Amino acid sequence: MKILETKNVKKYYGNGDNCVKALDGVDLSVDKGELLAIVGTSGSGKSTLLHMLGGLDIPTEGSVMINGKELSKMKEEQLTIFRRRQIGFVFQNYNLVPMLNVYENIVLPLELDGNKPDRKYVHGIIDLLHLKGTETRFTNGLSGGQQQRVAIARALASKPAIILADEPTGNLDSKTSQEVLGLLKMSIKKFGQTLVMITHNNEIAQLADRIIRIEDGRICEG
Amino acid sequence: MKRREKIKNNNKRIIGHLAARSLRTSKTRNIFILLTIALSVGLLGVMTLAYSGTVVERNKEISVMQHVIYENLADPQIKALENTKKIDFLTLAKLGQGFEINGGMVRPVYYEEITEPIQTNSICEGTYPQNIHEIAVNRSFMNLMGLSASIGETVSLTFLDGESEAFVVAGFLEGGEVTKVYPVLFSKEYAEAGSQLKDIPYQALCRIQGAEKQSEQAFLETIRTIGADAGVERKNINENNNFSSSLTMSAIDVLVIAGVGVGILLVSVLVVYSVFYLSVAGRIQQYGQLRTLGATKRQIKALVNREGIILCIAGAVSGLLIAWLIAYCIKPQGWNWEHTLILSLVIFLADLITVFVSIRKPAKLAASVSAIEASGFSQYRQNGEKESKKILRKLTPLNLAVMSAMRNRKKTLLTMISLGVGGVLLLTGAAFIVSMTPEDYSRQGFYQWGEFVINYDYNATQTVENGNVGIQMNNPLNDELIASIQGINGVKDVLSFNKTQISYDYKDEINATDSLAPFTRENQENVKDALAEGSFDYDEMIAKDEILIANNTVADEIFGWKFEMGDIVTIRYFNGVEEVEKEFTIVGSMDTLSEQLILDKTSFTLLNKMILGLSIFIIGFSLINLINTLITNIVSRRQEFSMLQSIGMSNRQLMRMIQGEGLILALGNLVITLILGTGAGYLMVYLLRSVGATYMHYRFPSWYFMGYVLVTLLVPVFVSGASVRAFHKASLVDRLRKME
Ligand SMILES: Nc1ncnc2c1ncn2[C@@H]1O[C@H](COP(=O)(O)OP(=O)(O)OP(=O)(O)O)[C@@H](O)[C@H]1O
Ligand SMILES: [Mg+2]
Repeated sequence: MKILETKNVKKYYGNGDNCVKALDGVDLSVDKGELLAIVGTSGSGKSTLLHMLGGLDIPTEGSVMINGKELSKMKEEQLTIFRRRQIGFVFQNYNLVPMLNVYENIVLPLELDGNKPDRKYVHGIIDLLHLKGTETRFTNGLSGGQQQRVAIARALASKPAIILADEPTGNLDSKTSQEVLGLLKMSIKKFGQTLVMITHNNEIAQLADRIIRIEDGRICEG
Repeated sequence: MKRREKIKNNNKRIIGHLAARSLRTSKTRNIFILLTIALSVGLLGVMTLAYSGTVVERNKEISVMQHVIYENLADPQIKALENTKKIDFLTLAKLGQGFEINGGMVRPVYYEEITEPIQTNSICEGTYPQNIHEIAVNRSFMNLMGLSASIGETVSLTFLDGESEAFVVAGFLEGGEVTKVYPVLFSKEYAEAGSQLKDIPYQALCRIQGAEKQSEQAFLETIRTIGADAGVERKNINENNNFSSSLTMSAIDVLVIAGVGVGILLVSVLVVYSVFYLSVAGRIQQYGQLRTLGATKRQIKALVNREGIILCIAGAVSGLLIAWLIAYCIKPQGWNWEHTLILSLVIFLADLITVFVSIRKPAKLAASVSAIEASGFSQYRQNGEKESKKILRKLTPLNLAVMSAMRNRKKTLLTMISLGVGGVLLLTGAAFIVSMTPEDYSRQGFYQWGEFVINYDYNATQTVENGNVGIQMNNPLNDELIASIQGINGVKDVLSFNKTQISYDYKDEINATDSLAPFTRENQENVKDALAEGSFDYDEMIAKDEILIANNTVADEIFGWKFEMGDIVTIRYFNGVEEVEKEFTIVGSMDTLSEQLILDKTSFTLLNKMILGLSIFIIGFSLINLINTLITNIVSRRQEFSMLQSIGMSNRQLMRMIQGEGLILALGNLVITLILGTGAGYLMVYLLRSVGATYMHYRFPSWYFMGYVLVTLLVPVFVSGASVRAFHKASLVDRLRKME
């Protein structure tokens, strides 16, 4: 069953001579429960594609559908709510809120949705990501790897249907990377989630169900 | 050596480049800093230029006025004055006894046809009266008489003595459209032989050589010496107060302007400081990056300073241009390029210093960013806190607002204070406006006690035998009348003031007229309080025929001497039956408050106008400051807001959070404003009252305050809405990437 589907997605930045074709006609579909890895050289358009999949940006052309719903047809407010309920995003630069401590950062999407966080579950994730003891610390005092793990915990906390992760292990040593990926795999199995993950690490990519390569804004291997 | 210089030069170029870049990327902040600077410079400019304009205009007016009038002149004195070298110009005039016609005061006058360089009401239509039967009047006078305003019309005037004479209108005088005193200009022939003027002595209006360059004291000495040499008594020398006081530039005015100017600069220091602080705090990451890349602390400081200077110059220039325009509109007659340029330069330098002082701290803060901090988003570095105490706070938008304010206490407090200063200014300015109502202002003098003054008819006091006393003999203002007035519905109280006309001999004054007023035993404490010299005992005063002198300083002004304590004054008065003469001893003197008021009034009206204008300006200033601070606060955190949105905060939630923060700031601001603003307003009124503005009564400017509360609360609502909408011009991803 297809949960994610893009049709001829294009994203152009600027115009005329300065036009950058970040995405140049991407057709992609992801099945429910699938773990998809996206690889490609730097600047090839991976992050851009992930943003389109998560509804963070609007494609210049083409459409993105989640569960058969076209994102560009949704109202802004509707899309925001849809996003925070259905999608967990791990940003390349973490996007942690500085005025909140670690625990608050993790449960923020849930709270914004007016839900009481499942404390047991959240503490479980914190344990598994080796974040125990950091719950009350503010994020700007944490190491890069710690911040990355907080970002992952936040993406998992609301048990979203889809997890979109931009280099979730970029700042982690290989042992921790393996552990984190194990956790992600466990989570998608347990909750029937779908994971789309960008990575530069071949070892990590090999753990995925499927790998796609992006070059110059196009998919070149399926 | 050479090499080093080269590096330094390159250095400068890159700093300039970075500063220009930085300015281009933070337009909103720039606009507000520009606005703040332009406003403060504009305010200073308008104030000083308008004052300079007033002085220039007054000097222009004075330049067509007489410096001194020698009054009560006999022929030999006129000859002597005409032969005095120091008198540049002299023209003769006569001022007859005024009388009432149809409720208007009519004044027979004579002055020469050509009086230049002294300006008089000249003939604007027809001719100067040539023969004894011709007169010239204002057009409005014909109206008063019920005649048509045309040349050749015959006017019959009934003078005080009851005699009527007919005159032909030969010409009309300039001006006088809204007057209560109507001059009637007679011919030279009439001045010499006509019934109303022939017994009136001439007066000479004079302009004195080089008087403009003298000090006030030297000028007074000069005209008094001239008078003495020509045999004119001191009391007949009437200097032009407008002119003499213009010789010593009013020190009070200059002091007030300087004080207010420093106040404005201090406020702009605070505003510019807080705007820069907010913007630097919002860019810590950028400065950190520059530091990582090898920029020295000094370079970062130079970068921030450079931005400040560019903004300061642009803001000051536009502020000054606006000030020029406004000052010119206020006082077009007073425009003077030399003054304008000098004052503008001074203001410009003052503001440059202000900006330097304001950005010292923020520049230091920027320079102190360590390279490591470039990696984390750290508007929050000011707070050393590493851990939060509570584990779980409910993360509603409003709670987030509180947390944000608490997490960054220093910034929150600074913003509140910056807003509060504006609010305090607003409340003080508004307090001035509402505390000085026109009613109170016009109620100076007798009108501070009541709405109506009933006194003797002027014509009657001039014509009845024994004058005032003659009327008093059969006083129409008797107890019966007072009782009947008190009986009128709506009359609260009737206060009576008594005095009697006397003449006295003292020093060189023989048979001088003045008045005598009694005071009651109950009132003696008040009188004692007003005593400037001497002392008295009420019973002894009665027993030993003792008197007090009111307004002894006025005697000094007019006669050049004061009444001395212990001296004897011979007083003559009509006691109802006969003229009596009695000797009194002077035991005290007072300088009454009302006289003080008159002395202060000229300098005071200027002060009033200035403070009033200032209040209005300041209210605008504080409102702009309010919007300014709130917008800067939001704009500098654009990225943080985008981040919250990227993890699912909806527009509505974001708006509520921004509004919550605005509300927190507003509450802090209102507390500061209410407490300090009320205090400052009260203090101002108290001080003004103590220098004689007794018509001021402190009132809390409740409407202004309510308006301010409303604006304070509404601005965050609108600003949050507008900025959230403005955010949407760029996509979320773009906003996350871009740093303000
Ligand atoms: N907001 C933007 N404005 C202009 N160009 C952009 C913008 N965002 C991305 N690009 C361009 O689009 C292209 C793809 O960028 P993207 O961030 O998707 O690369 P990436 O594959 O994620 O690279 P990396 O592996 O380094 O993260 C790049 O050439 C980039 O310069
Ligand atoms: Mg990327």
